[in-house]
Amino acid sequence: MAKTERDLYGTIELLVLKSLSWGPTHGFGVARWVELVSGDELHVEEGSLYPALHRLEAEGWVEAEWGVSENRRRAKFYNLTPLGRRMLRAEEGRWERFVATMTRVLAAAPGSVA
Amino acid sequence: MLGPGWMRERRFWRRAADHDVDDELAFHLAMREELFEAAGLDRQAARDAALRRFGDVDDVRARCLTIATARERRMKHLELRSALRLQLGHAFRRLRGAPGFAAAVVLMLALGIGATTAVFGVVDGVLLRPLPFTEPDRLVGLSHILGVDGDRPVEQSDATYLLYRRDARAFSGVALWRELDVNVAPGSQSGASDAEAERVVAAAVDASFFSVLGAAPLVGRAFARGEDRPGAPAIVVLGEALWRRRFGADPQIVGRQITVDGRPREVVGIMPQRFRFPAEATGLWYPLAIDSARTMPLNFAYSGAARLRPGVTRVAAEDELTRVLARLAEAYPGLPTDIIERTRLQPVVTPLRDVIVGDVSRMLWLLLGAVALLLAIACANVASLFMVRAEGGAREVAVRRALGARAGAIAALYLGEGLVLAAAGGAAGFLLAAAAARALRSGSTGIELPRLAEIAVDERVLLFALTVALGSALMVSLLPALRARRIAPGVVLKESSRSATAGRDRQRARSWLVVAQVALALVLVAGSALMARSFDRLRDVQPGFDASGILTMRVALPRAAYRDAASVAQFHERLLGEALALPGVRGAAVTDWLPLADDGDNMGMDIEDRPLAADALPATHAVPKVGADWFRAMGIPLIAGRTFGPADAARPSTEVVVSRAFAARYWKGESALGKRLRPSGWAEWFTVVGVAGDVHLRALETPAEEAVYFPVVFRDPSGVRAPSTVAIAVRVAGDPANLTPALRAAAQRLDPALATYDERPMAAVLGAATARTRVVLLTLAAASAVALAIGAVGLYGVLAYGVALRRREIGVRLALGATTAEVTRMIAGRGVALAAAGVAIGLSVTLGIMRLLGGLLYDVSPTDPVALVATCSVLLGVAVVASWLPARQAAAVAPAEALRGE
Repeated sequence: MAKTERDLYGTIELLVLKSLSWGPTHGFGVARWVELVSGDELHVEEGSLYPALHRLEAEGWVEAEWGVSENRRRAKFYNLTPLGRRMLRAEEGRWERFVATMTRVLAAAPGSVA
Repeated sequence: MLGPGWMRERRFWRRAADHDVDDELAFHLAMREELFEAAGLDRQAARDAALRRFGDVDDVRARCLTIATARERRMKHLELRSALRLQLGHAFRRLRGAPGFAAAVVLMLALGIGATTAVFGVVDGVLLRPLPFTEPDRLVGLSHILGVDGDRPVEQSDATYLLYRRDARAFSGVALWRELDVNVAPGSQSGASDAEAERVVAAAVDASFFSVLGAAPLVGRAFARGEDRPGAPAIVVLGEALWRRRFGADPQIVGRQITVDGRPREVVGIMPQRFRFPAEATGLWYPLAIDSARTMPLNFAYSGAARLRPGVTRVAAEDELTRVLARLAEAYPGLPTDIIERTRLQPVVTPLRDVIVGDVSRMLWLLLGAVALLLAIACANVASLFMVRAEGGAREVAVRRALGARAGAIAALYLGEGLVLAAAGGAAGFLLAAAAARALRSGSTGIELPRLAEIAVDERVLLFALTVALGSALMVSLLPALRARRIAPGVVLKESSRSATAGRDRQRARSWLVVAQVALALVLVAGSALMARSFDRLRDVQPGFDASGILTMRVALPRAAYRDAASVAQFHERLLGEALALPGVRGAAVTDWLPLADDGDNMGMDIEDRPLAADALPATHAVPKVGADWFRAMGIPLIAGRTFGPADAARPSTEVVVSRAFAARYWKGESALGKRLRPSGWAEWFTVVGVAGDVHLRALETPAEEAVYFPVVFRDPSGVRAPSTVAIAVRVAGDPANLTPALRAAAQRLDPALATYDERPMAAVLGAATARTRVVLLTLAAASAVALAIGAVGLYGVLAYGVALRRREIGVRLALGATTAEVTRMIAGRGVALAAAGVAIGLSVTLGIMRLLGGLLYDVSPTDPVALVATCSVLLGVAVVASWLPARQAAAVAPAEALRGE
């Protein structure tokens, strides 16, 4: 499947968008969320979240502004834009179809193709 | 959706992207560290663990930065574009509501920008653009200064050329040429009468001429090495224009023969149209025959150029030529060994561009300066108009400021209007400049300039107009924009009427603008006044002959057909006979040197009873050859004696006529008649038989020459001679221009293969002699008139507005017993005081810069008191007139009405 400009770059972007769908948070918040929901299974290198965040910001799918964190530090908060929310829904659908297809493919016994 | 308000407070907080990224990553690491510490690790271990978990911090930082900066750049662009569109749209709508203001501003800016752009186009084409040759910066002109009888510039002789070509290491090539006019006919039959011969500007060039200039032919080839030796095959290279016009652009012409001055030559190549050298009109080139065995080292009949080797400077080249030139006598054994010392010959190396452009550069820069001044005056006036408009808009600005608009947004308001108006003015100005360039190129203006064909209105000129328009927009909107920052919303909004104090403040700024306008206008008017005085003086110069009713025409006889003096003299006689037979003709004579035409060179002259010291060199004098009837036909008075007898090739006359200045130089207080003289080196003495009135032979600006008139047929050391290229002057009753066809036909009757050229009434020649002064004068006068008008309007506007502001005050004064005369004086006095301040400033500037006019003035000092006093009077007079109307308005204020208020 050829990627168009409108496609997401990869899994990390999808994760970031999903984490932001719960509400605005900073980069560390995104990292914590990924860590908590995946039970550390995904081994995401935390650093790679930031280029992804900046790319999403440049695309206009998230917007950022400086605010104050829960423990009174200055932090950059990211928030999904309406466009980002639409993209997330589309990507979720595509990801689910991809996973379903892969599951079917992997479950199929050798030689079972009619 | 957009998050809590406290998060949005920094929305417009712009920080450098790298700080943002650093802070963001630091926050992440600090948070992670805290978690690890809470889990029981010590500080250092916590930090290490956080870093490990994060990955390569530097790499992440770099990737984030790349994305963030790219994004920011894009956003800035977008913001700027939409802001610009918004502001321009606003400005456009606001200006539609003030069409009078907009029209006045556009008109003034169009005049200013148009004039500046037009003159810049000329300056660019003539002075700034590189010459259309390969690596033109390395091309230099070679000439000499001859230290005989004062320093005289001379060019090259065949010997100096051969010497430099052989010995000068500074050059990769040396070129030599001589300009001349030739008769050209198609085909190889000399004297063929089927096709009329045409007079063409030509150049005889050395074989390396084209390669030194770096010019490649369009068709065929240029000259090859050795083709400039005597006895080389007769060949010729045609110019593209001549090829198209005369030979129908026939590519088969290469290899065929044409006839040049009666001699068949084979065409070997065609030079492209853009190659115009040595003259704009050069139509063909043929090889010079350079005979190294028979040179004339001190006959500077040629022009030279050279291409510097890379890295060699002009100064270094000049030094080397000086050393090489010292070997001249050694290289040419016939010369006296101390020849360089005696002639004080000094080589001069000039950029070729300066050689081509000549002395017009001062005039062009001066005109550019004049129109730039005009533009400055127009901008000052427009700025003043902007401030009046800003006055009316002060309440609007105050409201905007009260609502939180920042000073930048207010400034953008004025800048937007300035841009829209300047763009319209610039567009109109550009069209004006394009029209001017077309008129110049077509030649209909009568202005003669070098490189005229290269004057073009192209992207360079367009860019210039854009820059000027943008600069003007900034200049006119800057003042109101700066003032807008000072508007205190509270004060303006509280006051029910216009704020008098703010008004006064602006009034002061506008007064300064008026002073500036007057000062600038004075510089222009003073320049015009000086040029007008020059022109006047120049017109008063007596040329020394009576130009009315004289028609001149040049005739050149092909040497091949008229080999000896007798045949030339015979032709002259027949031509004069034909001319005298024409209706209305009262006199006719031939000469090789038309007055004001700079046709000839000087010769050193020995005077029999004024012997020179052994090592002294004789003074040089102009030596026109003229027919016996010359003085009568031209209306040159014979002060003493008579003219020489009729030309006779069998027994050439040995009589001469000298000019009054010549006689005064050698025989002051005694009669020149009967004295004897001869050109240096000639054997035969000539007897002075007459003294003629002084004539300006070269130019009106230079003093009348100390001339010796020789008969048109004379004997020099090589035998009996008669110039084969002469001009005939015919005096006729009525308009001489009407005689042109008849005179041309008369020459054709004598020899159908003969070409005639340069048919001009002498009055036109006289007019052309003052042409440059006239062009500068007319340009400056036009600029001055516009500047004066703009300045007067500016002064009037400021005063009238001042009266409007001070109505109440004037009413009070009148009510308290001031007379209307006092009020009139008060207002008019203010106008005159402003003008006087401008005049004072302008005068001191003028005294400083008028010496720039120096070379263009004739017989007038740059600080000529008459011109300067007249200038000041004109400006003050205009100021009085401009002040009078507002003063009358002030006096007409009805006190009661004014006090009742607005």
